[in-house]
Formats: sequence, C-alpha cells, structure tokens
Amino acid sequence: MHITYQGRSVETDAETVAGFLAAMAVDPAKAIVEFDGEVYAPGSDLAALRLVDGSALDVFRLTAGG
Amino acid sequence: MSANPYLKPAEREALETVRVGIAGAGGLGSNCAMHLVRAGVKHITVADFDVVNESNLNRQFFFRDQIGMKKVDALKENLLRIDPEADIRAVDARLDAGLARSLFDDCRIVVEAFDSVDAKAMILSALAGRGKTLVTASGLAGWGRSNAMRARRIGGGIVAVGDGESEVGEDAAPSSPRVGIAAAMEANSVVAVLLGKEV
Repeated sequence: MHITYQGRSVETDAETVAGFLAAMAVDPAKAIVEFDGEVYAPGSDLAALRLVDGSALDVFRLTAGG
Repeated sequence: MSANPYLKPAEREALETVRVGIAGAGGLGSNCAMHLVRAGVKHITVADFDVVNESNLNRQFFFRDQIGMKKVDALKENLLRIDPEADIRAVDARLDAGLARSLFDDCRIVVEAFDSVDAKAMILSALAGRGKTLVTASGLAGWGRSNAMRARRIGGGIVAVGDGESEVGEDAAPSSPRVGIAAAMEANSVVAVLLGKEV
C-alpha cells in the first residue's frame, strides 16, 4: 500500500503505525506523531493504529539540545 | 507599560493578559523569555533547577557576574532589567510530570526549553491534551543551515520549531546563533498564537 509520510508518498508493507516507525528507525518515545489528523505525544501506544492505503503520517523527532 | 511601545491596544491586551510557561532556563528558555518580555508578554512562569556556569555564556542569556546563581533567579533579574513591571514567577525545581501539570496549570501556552530528549518527551506527554498550546524545539545544533529551521503546527495544540534533525553531541555543539534562532522562533510562535497569527 501507499501512505503519505512526511508529505511524500511511500510504499510500505507495515500494518501499523508502530511497525512502520520501527522500520524507519523512529522511536515513538522520542517523537511527536500525527496520524490521520490525530496527534500522539511521545510515548503514546501506536500499536493499535492500523495503516490503510492513503494514510497520512507525520513525525517530529525530538533531538538533544537547548 | 510593557517593554514594547509598538503594540496596538488589542495586541497589548492579548499579550498582557495571559501567563506563558517556560520549562527550562538554558539556551532555549532564557533567550525565549528575553524575546517574550521584549515583545510585551507580562506574565511568565519559568522553572529550572540548574545554576549558571561559565560554559553557559556561549549561548544563554546570562552574564559573567551571574556565574553560580540559580538560573531562574539570574533570568528574573535580567528580565526585570528589560521590564521592571514584568511578573516573573521563577521556580527553582527539577520538573517532573506532576509538578509540570500543577506549575503550568494557569498557563495558556507552555514552551518546552529543555536540552535532553527525555525531558522534552516528559513535558510534552505531561501537558498534551490539557487545552494548552505547547511550543517545542528540536534540531538546533551546530552552525549554518539557517533555512532548515522552521516552525510547523502539529495538530491544533503543538508548534514545533527547529530543523528536526541535528542533535547536540561531540560533533555538533550548541551555539548562540542556532540556539538563538530556535529560541526566537519559539517566542515568535508564542506571540503569533496569542495574536491569532500564522506561526
């Protein structure tokens, strides 16, 4: 299926947001995730969020520095 | 009278009647607070547990004669030099989720201004979904790449600034210009939200 990730269309076999992010090496404990218009704070449980064709996913990674 | 004589009455009202929370008084927090007070924000709650040391002077809004002071006390002193009437609630504490919720309960907007990823995640998780706008910064290490810095809304309640990638480490120190850009973008986002403008 194709989803939109960070504004770009990508093909994936991942079934869930958690699975997709694991494949992208994104730690959801250290990221803000926006999935189909809903925002998930760092550490949210994303395992139940199922991807479908056309899903939209955006991630803002938290990085050290301040 | 605020530090900003250029505000229109409605803008002054918008900036002077809210309390802004700032979690952390380091490079992001101290500079963000400075910009907010200069912009005309009157009520700020800022929390940090650390003291000013010499290595902070490369980017943080402190001065050499403040080395050894609690950061929140030094920051309050400096902010009151800009606006003696500013209401600065300086809290010397290491924030955890519970303290953050109670301390910032009366703040419409809270600025995440920590340096560690764990602390950033903690404050965002603690305050998400509580009706506040959260302004966070990540991706501000090193030099150059000014145009990679941007502010973006995430849903209705979060504004994220920075390049979202660069990380402070052995090869990328925090520097005044880039940390300053991020701090100014955080302050600019706070003012924009309060004035109903695009971030």
